[in-house]
Amino acid sequence: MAVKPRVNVVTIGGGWTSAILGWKLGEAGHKVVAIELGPGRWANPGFQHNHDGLRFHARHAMMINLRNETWTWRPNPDSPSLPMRQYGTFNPGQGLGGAGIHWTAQLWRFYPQDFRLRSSIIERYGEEKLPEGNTIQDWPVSYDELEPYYTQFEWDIGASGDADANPLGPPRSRPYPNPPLQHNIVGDMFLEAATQLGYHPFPFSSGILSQSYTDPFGNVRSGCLYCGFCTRYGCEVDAKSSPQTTHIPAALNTGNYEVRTRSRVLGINVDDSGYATGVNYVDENGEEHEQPADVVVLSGFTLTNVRMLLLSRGGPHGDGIGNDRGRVGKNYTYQHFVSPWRGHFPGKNLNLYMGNGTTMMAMHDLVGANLDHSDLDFIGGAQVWSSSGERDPETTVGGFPIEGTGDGRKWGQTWKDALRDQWNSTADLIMEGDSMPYVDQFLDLDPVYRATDGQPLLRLTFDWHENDYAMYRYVAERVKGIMEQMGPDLIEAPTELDPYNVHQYQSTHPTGGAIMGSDPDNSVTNKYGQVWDTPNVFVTGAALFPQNAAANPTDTVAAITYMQGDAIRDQYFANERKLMA
Amino acid sequence: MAGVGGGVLLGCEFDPNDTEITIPDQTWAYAENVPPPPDSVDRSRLGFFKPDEAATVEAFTARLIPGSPDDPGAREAGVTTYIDTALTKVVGYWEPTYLEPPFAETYTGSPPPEADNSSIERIFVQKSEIDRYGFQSSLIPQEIYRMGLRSVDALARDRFGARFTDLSEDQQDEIVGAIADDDAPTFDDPSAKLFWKTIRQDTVYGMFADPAYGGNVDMVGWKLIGYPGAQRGYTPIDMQSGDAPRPPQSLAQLHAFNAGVDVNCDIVLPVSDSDPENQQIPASRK
Repeated sequence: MAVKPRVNVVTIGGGWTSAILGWKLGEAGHKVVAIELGPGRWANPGFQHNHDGLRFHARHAMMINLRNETWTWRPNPDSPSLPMRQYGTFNPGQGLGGAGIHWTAQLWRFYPQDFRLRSSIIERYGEEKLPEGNTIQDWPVSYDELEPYYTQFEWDIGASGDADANPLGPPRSRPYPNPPLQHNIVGDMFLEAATQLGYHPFPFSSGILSQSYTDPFGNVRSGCLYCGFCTRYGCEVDAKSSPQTTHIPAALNTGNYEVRTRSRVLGINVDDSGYATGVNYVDENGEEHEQPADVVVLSGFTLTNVRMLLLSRGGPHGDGIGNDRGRVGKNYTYQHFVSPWRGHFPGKNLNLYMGNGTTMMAMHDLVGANLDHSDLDFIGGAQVWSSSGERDPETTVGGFPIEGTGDGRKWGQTWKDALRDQWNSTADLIMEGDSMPYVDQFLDLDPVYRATDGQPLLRLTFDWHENDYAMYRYVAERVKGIMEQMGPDLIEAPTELDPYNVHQYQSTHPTGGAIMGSDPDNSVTNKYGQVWDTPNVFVTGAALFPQNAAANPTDTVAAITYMQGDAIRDQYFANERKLMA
Repeated sequence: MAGVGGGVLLGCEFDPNDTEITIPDQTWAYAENVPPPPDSVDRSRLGFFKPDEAATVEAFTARLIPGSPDDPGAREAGVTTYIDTALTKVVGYWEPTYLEPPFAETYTGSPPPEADNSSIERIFVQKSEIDRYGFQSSLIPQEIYRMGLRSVDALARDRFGARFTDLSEDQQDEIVGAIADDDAPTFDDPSAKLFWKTIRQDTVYGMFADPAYGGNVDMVGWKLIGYPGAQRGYTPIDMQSGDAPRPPQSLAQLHAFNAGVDVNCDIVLPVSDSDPENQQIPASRK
């Protein structure tokens, strides 16, 4: 086994958080090496000819390869776990840039209240309002601390949006650098209907450029072509912001950042005193290497980071790094991300195959921070969105006909006629709701199932709780009202949430499992993602979230990483192996 | 288009004379998660199906999406060619699929005694819960079709005393309906549910995926629903127009991307020769 020259930082994963740290730390003269599971790839030529819905959407060409590793799931600790054998509930990516290549680019900040959820609920409604069995925690970082980092990230990537359009939104120190993308027809129908009902709809904020933009690094990028092949694809014109458009070039330009692709990390090495000493990895030729490093950063997907901590059992960390007090895997949360409300508008060409997942309207009236829960039987809430673009036939025609059509058969002449009449004339409404942590909702290593390399798979124990069902009922009734106001001739509007399942795609927003907190008894890391029991290991990304908010995680993940990068550069390297205050 | 995928596919050619179907080593796919469309599709011969199997698939899928030369359905779209090509080019699943044991076994009532000692041979799951876990079969698509088609014919014989292909369309609809409603006792492994899910999904792909995969001939599926296929882009004005969809265009017709050309103007990017209409900037958009 070859031992590579020692570096200052090794990151496990070559995605967005790695690139941000590579840029910030590389600029300060620290050598950073990223070990990336998947291949290298760039817009040109990699994404130039990829408009193939079967390969990229239906078959998940850019995702982690389930032939080798997957995740197991069970609804509760008393049930058996089984592996997710084919993609369903979420789509973690692999390859240079990680999920930052195939993301939808819905770009939201969390609300100030989200960062002090427990305190704000207790202050306003009393402790008894918290759901039974919950482990809701305040974040150790506030919105005000993160606000400058949100702003920096949004300007670095050229975010698109209208800062004045959402009167209920979190405060901002600067507007968006670019105007919103052009929304689709359904956006207008939703705008009118929701406004008539007294809500406050507004155009989406997006990580996709609505016009050409020269970013602060000097990269010149094109605006969006509305091509309709966006989520689960790489963008051929770099209009969709990604690590490749922005932070990887910045990191490489420092001369101190290197990515080794097609390489799989086996675990974090630890010395007898409990500090990390680097990682071992296997390259694409099957050769094992040791990469010694002063600092190890977990910069993979949420679930990858948690599994890597649990698999790294060296030295005194017999249950895994960060797990000396049994906190790894706790506060696993997800997100309500369902769109069962459909309406048919006969004769209209809605043309939802154009555009992307941000060419639409949102409303935040039902987000937890904007609701008075005094007379409600739940906490939290949800965003509501109008129809996304990028509708492809491969993944949508199977869902027709709309309930109540003809003889109800999902095959035969009924199906064919419905596809002809309904496919381009059907709009849907979507909700994105927050997810609370509970004691019976967690991640650990599966006792039975293994990856093809012999290491245990990560096991998810997760199901909806009563708060989720109640929140859904409340939001569903209002969404149905909006859909009715839009005036379809057929409407499909279930009022009850189904129990969680792993085969239906919901969102790639699993969060928690290595959360940040105020002390080692309630968390795995401090506010900088620095692991309490192994201070030269840092966790990045959504594994740090104590619970998930009703918003996509990327803006918050990036803001936290900017903060981490500054702190590691300015504080950590001045006083290595010490916990930062 | 060829590249790594082409080499990979060659190593996976399926031998139709081989009656033994085993789960293949798929570690090749670590680098190439999902193969690209095949370089070519041979419509003149079957690669996986035996002739009578192909006839059953064709008749069956033609009941899922009926058609005629004037109003094409699954038959006219070449759905059977799509499925046969898919089964020939890749042994196992095109999409990343975890096929490691143990597999699930369902029960009703109280759990069987073996369920308690964490058997590593089988994992016992309550029948009412199994659907929440998604796909849990040990079968690969070649097995699902080979064995499932036998169950289709067995059901046809049970109900009507003849093979599926020899039934009237009404009788065929009754068989298809029974399978769709999971009321088909001749199925065992694959279950009627799994067979139905597989053949319906493949009918979707054969009718509506890019023609490069062997189905959707002349893009008849896309014309049916009003999907323009692989386009380079649309303008903000297109986003708001509500106009009828453009004529469709396939991946092969998609104009090569001219990297470095200014694309940030208010026009549709160069599109294929097959679609001259879209090379013009409509007067309303100038």
